[in-house]
Amino acid sequence: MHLALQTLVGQLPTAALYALVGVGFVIVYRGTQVLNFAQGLLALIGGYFFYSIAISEGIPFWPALVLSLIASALLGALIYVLMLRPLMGQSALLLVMLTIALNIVLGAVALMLWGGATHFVKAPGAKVDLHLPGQIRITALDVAVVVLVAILLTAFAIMLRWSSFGSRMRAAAENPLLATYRGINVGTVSTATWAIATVGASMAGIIYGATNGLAPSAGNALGFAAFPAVVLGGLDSVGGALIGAGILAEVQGFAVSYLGGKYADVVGYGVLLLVLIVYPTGLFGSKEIARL
Amino acid sequence: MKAQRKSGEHKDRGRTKKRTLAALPILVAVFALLAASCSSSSSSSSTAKPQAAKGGSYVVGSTGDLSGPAAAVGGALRDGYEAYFSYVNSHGGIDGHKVKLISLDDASNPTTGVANTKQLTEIDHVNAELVFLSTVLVAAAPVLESTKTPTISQGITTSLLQPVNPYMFAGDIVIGDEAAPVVNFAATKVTVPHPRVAIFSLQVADNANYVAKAEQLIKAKGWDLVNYQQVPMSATTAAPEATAIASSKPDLVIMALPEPWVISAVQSLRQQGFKGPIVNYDGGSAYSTLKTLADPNFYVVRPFPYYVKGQPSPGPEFTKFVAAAKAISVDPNRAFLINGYVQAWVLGHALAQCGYPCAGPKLASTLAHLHLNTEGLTYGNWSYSPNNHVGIHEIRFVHWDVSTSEPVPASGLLPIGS
Repeated sequence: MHLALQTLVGQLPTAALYALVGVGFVIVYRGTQVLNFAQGLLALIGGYFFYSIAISEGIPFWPALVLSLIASALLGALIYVLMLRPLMGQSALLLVMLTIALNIVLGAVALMLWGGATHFVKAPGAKVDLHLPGQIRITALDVAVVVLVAILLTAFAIMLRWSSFGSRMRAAAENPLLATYRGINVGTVSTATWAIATVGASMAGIIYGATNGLAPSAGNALGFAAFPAVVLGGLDSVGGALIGAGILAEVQGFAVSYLGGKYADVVGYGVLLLVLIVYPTGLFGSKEIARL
Repeated sequence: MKAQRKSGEHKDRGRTKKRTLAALPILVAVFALLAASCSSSSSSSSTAKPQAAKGGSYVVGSTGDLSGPAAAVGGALRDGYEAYFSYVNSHGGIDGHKVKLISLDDASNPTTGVANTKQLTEIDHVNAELVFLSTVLVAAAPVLESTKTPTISQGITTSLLQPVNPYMFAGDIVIGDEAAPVVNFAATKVTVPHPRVAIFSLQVADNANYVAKAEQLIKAKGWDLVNYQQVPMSATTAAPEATAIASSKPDLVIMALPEPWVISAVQSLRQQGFKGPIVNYDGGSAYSTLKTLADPNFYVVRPFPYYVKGQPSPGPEFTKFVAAAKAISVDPNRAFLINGYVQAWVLGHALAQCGYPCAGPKLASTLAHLHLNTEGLTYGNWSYSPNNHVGIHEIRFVHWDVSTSEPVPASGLLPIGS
């Protein structure tokens, strides 16, 4: 019983990490109809930004966090303006190929700038153990991450569904021409979409740097771990990303606890396959989404 | 009609212009990719111009992962080779002969590794090759043997050492050989006569032999193996496996986890209340790992010392290593840097003993009889023999000293493989 509870609670930070990276996939897809396979690398580079500002430059945690998130927002905006915007309207396959190329380029750039060594970032609460009822143990940082991600994803969901910006984002993605006729600045909305998605990914990168360390391989590890969660939940649903991340992380965790670590991927992705057979667009994805 | 044609041409030109503009970002991405790959291969080109040997130079080739999933280790090894050969060249070369280092990137892909090896052996005619990954080495071994190219490898496998292959030499401890010292050392750290033991390993083929030997030794000692967890390479964290291990209430954890998984594994075990000793193999023994964990009850196998600022150097060769690393602006404690440096150092000494010119069979024979006093570069000395192509025979266990905030030895010199 204790193992089940500990697994359940212990996997929540992993689920939060998947969700934070995954929500970037959703926001970019909903806002620009682009499947961004560079999302994991954007998370890694956000983590490296924080490392450079906080550790190398010695700037305290909170100002460093703000500065690194601003830098990440700028990076996301620049990527859209310089690389994606001129290609808007092109085939989905071309845009996917572009993000795959971007993923490779960002990986090479990260390796050049930060080297191959593992870099660690310090976050408050990382070494503060909390003892919950039922002998459940978790760090204060883990609790903070879960709470923060829950708040952020709720805010994202509210923004996308009910805010004026969310409406403009949906309009810009579904029919850019019509949105322009209605006075929506599609370029600005899409640029902001990429900036927001990159900020979310960067927060995941910083958390990952505090709990596991930042290494060049971490970018793809994060991206490839989060993408199935998004597919499970539905490519265009923030709530789906959260629930998909939760299901995937918990299924993997329970597979490890009761079957062994080597079964984590088999069981996790087996569940993903089964769900996709029954719900081809994911648990909460819109039916009209075309699969590639 | 004419006006319509003009309008049509204008539209065509417009579309062409639009298509050209649309292609620009792709071109930018492609150029950036090319620039990145050029930069990654040229970073070693101060000593690494891809040219054949001429003017009395030795030529050493390397293939390793510089841009793929294991680039962190591959880049550090390459920097280690470069640090040594740059140092040697700046001090007059090996008996007056400079060394050209040609570093190629295989991105962990055996097919690319074989192509690199063919280029290095058949076009660049290298005197010797340094290979990082076992998968690449196994694929490239037939080429290296047919071209009689002596090879020192970080990731050599037991199958290439037993029976002895005349051209294959180990550049580090063979993972399987670490099991005995790890289990024997762990026995000195447990306080109960029949401890409950858990094994915690990365799910890779290279670790299978280590785990199998550890299981045998645990059984032979009458200990109780209560849990065995493998972390998949795709895992972002080893925390769930750590939870499973902690729940089995072990007294001791024997580990074979490299960075970055070792961090989340140890942190999660401690967080779950496991207070016993954790003994890891040398693959997860980076200075930054010990410093981050700052855990005095976490022990690692080390064949090489760490650089501790302000402390006396373990020997003159280690002092040279620190100077060489700093000369190329690399932290001497970067994980796997010293491994690459030592492999190049061993090869450099073999080339010096072989003389100039040095053909492959002669160099292989020289390596097979090489005995070196490493003067602080490794904990024990380095010696190959015709029957044993593993150069390291002694290691120490090291852990973090919380009072000095530095890594310190936790054991004397211990034999490996026994």
